[in-house]
Amino acid sequence: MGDELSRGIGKYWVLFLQPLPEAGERVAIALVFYDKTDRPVVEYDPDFSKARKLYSDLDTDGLKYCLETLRTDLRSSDQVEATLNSYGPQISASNARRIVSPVSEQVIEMLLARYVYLAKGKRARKEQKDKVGEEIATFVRNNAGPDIQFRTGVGAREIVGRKLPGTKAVAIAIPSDRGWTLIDGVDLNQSTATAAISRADDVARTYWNYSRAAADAGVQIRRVGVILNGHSHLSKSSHEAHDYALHRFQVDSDLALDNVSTEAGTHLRELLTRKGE
Amino acid sequence: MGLRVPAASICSLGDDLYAGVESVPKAQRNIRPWLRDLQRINNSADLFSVIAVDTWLANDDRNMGNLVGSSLGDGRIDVFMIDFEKSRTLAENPFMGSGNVEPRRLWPRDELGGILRRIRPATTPAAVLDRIRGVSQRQISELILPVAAELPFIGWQDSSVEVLFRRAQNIDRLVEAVWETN
Repeated sequence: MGDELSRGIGKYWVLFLQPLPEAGERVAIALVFYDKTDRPVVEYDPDFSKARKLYSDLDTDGLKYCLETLRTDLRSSDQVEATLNSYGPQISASNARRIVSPVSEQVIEMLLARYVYLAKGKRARKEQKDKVGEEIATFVRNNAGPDIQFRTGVGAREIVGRKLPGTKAVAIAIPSDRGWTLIDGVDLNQSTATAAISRADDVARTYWNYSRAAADAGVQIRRVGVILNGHSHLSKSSHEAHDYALHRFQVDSDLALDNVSTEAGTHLRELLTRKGE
Repeated sequence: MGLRVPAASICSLGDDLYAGVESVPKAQRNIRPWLRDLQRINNSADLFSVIAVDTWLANDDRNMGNLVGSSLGDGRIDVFMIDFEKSRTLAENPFMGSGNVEPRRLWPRDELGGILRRIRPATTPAAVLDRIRGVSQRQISELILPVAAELPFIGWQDSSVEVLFRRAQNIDRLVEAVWETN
């Protein structure tokens, strides 16, 4: 049982920049995650916005180079803490902190927002996005049944086992023996037409990238694009956003669903009950 | 000698005297990452020039901890050399002290020494050897004697001047020996 528990616990460290260690002043610049399923991962804000607030003449190129070197070192070392300490004294690591393993993209983003990012606006935008995700989750439950099991905010590391440029965490991810069914989309009640178009672009791009990476990763990925409340608004811009999102999802999804259609729920249930093709 | 070193001075705190140096601007105290990519070190040739200077001074304490980077703002650094206080030519009994330092020990120590061995040029650094060889006894005196005059406990300054001049005359042979044994 002890083994079972230890398998579910990973670690993370907060990395601090302290240009003058004697002064006792420091600022968080990066996080290192280690969940025993993969090599340690270094995540940071490439703009170093928070650090630049304190140290306006910070050499961000130099700091980025340091962290990339650290990333390389961690990939080739089994001694995580010794490697982190070798970057002192101006980069220092916190004590190891426990975290549930495997570490999801959502958790990484949450911890980055907590420790590393400066911009509150970014956090606010994520919360807005999550609201759309909640509506999509409700749509899935209403049509596939309340017992359906799914995950939220799942990213590329879990889906294809590595970071994948051009992808964002998807609203709903349903794991299966052979891979994942991903469900995401837009809600014209939650977003402006412009925001909905932007989100449709993000989702379509994410799906397009997964379709390219799935074969290499040996993972079956089914992609569902959903448009909610696309005809609830009278404005031409909302109608255009609806039509555009539907078009994008028809191109880059395996199934595009418009909830105004009476058959949307049927199509979703059919797809979810198919074991895979 | 053309190396980047912070300006130094004799400083006092209460009744005590100290060797003080200016801070290295925008200091990077750990240059290990930069040693992986010498293109990012603006004065990378100095990594080997300092071995010649340390050989001249009989300083056997060069390591990662006494190289300090100075950020140039674009991901590159200048490397400053600090901590020359173990130089045997400048300490008591300079003849005996410097004569006892084996050439093998004048190569940088530990991790820095290992890195520099892997990337060292085949020949000794000619430019800095020229500069050391060209130093006159008078120039050495003008550097050493004013400092010694401020430090009442020093009585070996003349020996330091002489041994530094002799080592400067023999610098090619001394540095060749360091290169050969490392």
